[in-house]
Amino acid sequence: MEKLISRGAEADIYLGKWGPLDAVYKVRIRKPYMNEVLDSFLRRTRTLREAKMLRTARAYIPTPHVLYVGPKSYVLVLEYISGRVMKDELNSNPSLAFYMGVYLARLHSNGIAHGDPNTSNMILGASGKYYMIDFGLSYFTERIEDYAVDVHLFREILNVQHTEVYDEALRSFYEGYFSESKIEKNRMLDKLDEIEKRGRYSRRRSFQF
Amino acid sequence: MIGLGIESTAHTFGASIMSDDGKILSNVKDVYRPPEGMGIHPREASRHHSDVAPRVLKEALRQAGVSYRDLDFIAYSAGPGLGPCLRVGATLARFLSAYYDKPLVPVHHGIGHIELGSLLTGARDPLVLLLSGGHTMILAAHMKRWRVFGETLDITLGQLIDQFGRYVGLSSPAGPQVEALAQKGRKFIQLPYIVKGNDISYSGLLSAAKKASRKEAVEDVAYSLQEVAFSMLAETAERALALTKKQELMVVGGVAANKRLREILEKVAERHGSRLYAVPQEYAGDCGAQIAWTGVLYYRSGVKVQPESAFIQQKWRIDEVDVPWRS
Repeated sequence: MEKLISRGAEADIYLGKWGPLDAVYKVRIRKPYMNEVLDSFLRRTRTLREAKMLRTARAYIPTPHVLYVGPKSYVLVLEYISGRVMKDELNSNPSLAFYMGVYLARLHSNGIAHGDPNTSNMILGASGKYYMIDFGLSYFTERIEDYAVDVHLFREILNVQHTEVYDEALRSFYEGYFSESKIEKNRMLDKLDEIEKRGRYSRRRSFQF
Repeated sequence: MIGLGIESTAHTFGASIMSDDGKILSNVKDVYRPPEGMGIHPREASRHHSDVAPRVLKEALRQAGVSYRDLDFIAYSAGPGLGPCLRVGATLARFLSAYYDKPLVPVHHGIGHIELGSLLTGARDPLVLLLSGGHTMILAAHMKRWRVFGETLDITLGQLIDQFGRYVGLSSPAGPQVEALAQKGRKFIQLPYIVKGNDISYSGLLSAAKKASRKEAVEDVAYSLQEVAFSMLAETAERALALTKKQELMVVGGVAANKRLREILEKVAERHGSRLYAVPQEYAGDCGAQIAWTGVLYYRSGVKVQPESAFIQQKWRIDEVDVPWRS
């Protein structure tokens, strides 16, 4: 491990070597505020889960190779993908969201929810190939509800991080998503509506009294 | 300039007089308490509000040393909240506005929490954790709106704690009592930890905690419930801090009074080179001051309504509301 390149919510990311290869070290570190039992449970299960889901998802979309899994040291070593993050490109090119739509639909069609589909989790590789990363919250599911949550999360990210291009990016995302999805468009949009209404203050219902 | 703020969204009926330099001239409230183990009954709560309103209003004016005629505007919490409760505050505000010929300013309750928090803590451009009975949200201001970075997919943190408290026989609002129980807990019981992207889900945690309380010591369950619920929130706060690189993390709303939560958030902020701004405990819960101060901000921005078009909204998304004074 050489250089700390980012500090996320649940892991520190280092750039280093794995043999002759450039590699990313994803280290899930101890959270000083968290109960120890809970902390080590989360770090262990997420490290294992991420490795497994990265490998499974590779059958459907490009993901980095898993080079090493250390459930006791909470370390994952991954192939390094050089390129740019979608987050930094989307505001100047909102149609890139199309690819997020395609990739999510492929995962969903194969029974996988990503769990954290934000624009920081797609790398536009220098080779021209696009990669999805960060599978720590990913899981197997057959429920349309879980797929709709993925879509909801992406919409939420567009709304806060790409406010200026929200409409255009969302249109491209849907175009990509429904070009590959097995789920009918109206069914997905109804489900989304249901999720966004649930238990929260979603609908405008103003009245005079 | 001075204004009156009336709060009546849920348990609390409150009235406050504030001046436009941010001085709280008075802040009086009376909180409805349902019987032990029961939730808030909207009709009973609204009856309570009607009963205490004259006294609370009179006392707010007396402490501030002003009369209705001295006011520049009257602000009320227009939602979101319980219909019958909102109606008490709104009806009073509309009457006072029409009778004394004062501008009427409707205020979103959640924005009230945020703006009073900003005033009292000095946070200028914070990432906000809004944790009240009705909201569990992570927000940042952008393009004149509060944008939601993450939120609960089902029940709020306030509801989680309150409903657990009621289940084990405490009276609502049960936050402080659950916190006291948790301080005596020692054993950690594994409960569902559900984070989805920047969102969280508490309903599975609530069912599991209720179930656990039937065979484990209630102190241990309360302790574990808090640890899991707060850690979930801390994780999403960390995500939002990593994304936004905000220098200020502000926590407001009733649950912000919880000491363990504050301790956790201190460490979260520290890890990301940010600082925690926690609303002072006495202003964490619902109160008139949050409405009076936000009323000042709206009144200054020229937002007011005619008494005859006064409204309430039981459901009202915070990200649908313009905040002209924000970046």
